Amino acid sequence: MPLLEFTSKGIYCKQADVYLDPWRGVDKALISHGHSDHARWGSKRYITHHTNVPILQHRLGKVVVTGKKYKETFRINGVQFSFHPAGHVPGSSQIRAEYKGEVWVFTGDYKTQLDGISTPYEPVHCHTFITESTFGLPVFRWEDPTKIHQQINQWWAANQAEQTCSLLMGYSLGKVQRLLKHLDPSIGKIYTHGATEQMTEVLRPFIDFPKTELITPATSKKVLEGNLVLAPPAVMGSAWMKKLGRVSTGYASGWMAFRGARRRRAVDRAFVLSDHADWEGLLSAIKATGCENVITTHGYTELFAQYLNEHGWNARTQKTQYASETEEILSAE
Amino acid sequence: MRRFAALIETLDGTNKTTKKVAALTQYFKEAPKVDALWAVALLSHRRPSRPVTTTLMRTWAAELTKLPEWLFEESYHIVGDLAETIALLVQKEGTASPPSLKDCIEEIIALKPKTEEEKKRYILHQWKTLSHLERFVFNKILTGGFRIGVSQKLMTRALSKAVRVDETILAHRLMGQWSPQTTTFDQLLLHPILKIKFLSPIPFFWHTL
Ligand SMILES: [Zn+2]
Repeated sequence: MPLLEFTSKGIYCKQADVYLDPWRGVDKALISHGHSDHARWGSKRYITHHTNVPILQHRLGKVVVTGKKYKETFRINGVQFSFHPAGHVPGSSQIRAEYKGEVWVFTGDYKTQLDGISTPYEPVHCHTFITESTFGLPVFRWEDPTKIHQQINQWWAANQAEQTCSLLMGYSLGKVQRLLKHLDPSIGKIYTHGATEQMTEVLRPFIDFPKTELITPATSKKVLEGNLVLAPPAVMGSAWMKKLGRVSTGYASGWMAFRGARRRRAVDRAFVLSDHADWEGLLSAIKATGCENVITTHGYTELFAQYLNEHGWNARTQKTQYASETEEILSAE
Repeated sequence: MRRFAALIETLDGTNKTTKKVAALTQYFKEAPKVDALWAVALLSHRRPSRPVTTTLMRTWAAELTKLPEWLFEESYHIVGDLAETIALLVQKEGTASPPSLKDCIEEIIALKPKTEEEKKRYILHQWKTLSHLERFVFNKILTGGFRIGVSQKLMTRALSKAVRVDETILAHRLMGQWSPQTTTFDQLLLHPILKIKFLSPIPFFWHTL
């Protein structure tokens, strides 16, 4: 019997009777990170990294949730569990499970690049590695993020010079705080959409961010001129966006790597910035685990598994209900 | 090449006509005339005939990137554009001084009669030394089919602003068969009387799309 198996409710450890990032309500759920496709409503008890506790409470309301430190081990019916930094968003963790000398690691989502706000990814030795593969294609190779942040600040400064408001969009948990962390407040003021402001507020106790100001119905177009607004991608083309006055739209996502995708998004500026590992990141992570078996869960699972099989791993794919970044955007709150 | 690639990026990155015209006008004003003439040719769908098949390009790219051919093909299928796929897969940073647009296109034209081995050596060298954006533009010139949402009319408008010649007059001067190999920017656009002389039986390497 495998230590972790895939059931209709999610990844299940029968020996410990717990689920990892289940997509249905269960008795006990270990949660990798706060994104809505991984931390779902309806379970009786949640166990996750400390940083995720307020995130889960913010997203799921009144839930019973226990926080753990990175690498702190705990046993459930003989199975030893621990959370390890995944570098995806603040609080994001890989979940390690060990039983009778056999080690499995479930990555949740992860990236190997540094983002300045998440605890950096750490490889964990294991026999079986359950990995995301959102960007598991060799065409995805991220540039040095400091370059992207420079481009963003340059874009903002150019808009500022034309008295235009910069509307910078990114996913509410993780992406937007990463953007905020690297904005240059000497250019102008930073305003926020409600969803962005709330999530940033949840993370402020853990991370030092530049000052932001929430946009309210009283905020005039005039004060926004030359300043920057952070918001989720769902505001694109909305009535809310129209109230901002003249804007230049910017959008940060790994999916912006393709010309076609950039065009479909129809924003003024697309920034290729992802919180998922790129092709090289995935490969280097897998090598660093020393694993023999790989299970790919979401993204370009089939192609990535095929490549791994041709390169010495025993790889297979497993259908899950974890979304890749695009779907997260469509369902963005 | 660098300036032209930057122009393509700007044109690609905006849906606003005014921004496109402004970027084109600036390019036509600032680029060396020999390059600007080639840019006019490319943007009015006059491109050098293809020196290599796309099949060869795919094989060479897979070889250079050390990827299995099936994975290269799948990547191409997902990206949907060969020039872009190769630009993305060949991970090289580019050098400080890429060739000028004129030199680059003339090298591509000169490639046509060469052996497959010579063509391969040249193209791989370009892939390895150009930046991502330049590599994309280079591949687009190689494969033809530049679709960047710039109509002939839009380009003519920008050109008119740059050289201060009436749009309808310019549109007329740009009609018909001409090649930057047999005319100059000034002869084509500013002193068109000379253009006729250059419509000579020189071998014609151009296709109009
Ligand atoms: Zn996630």
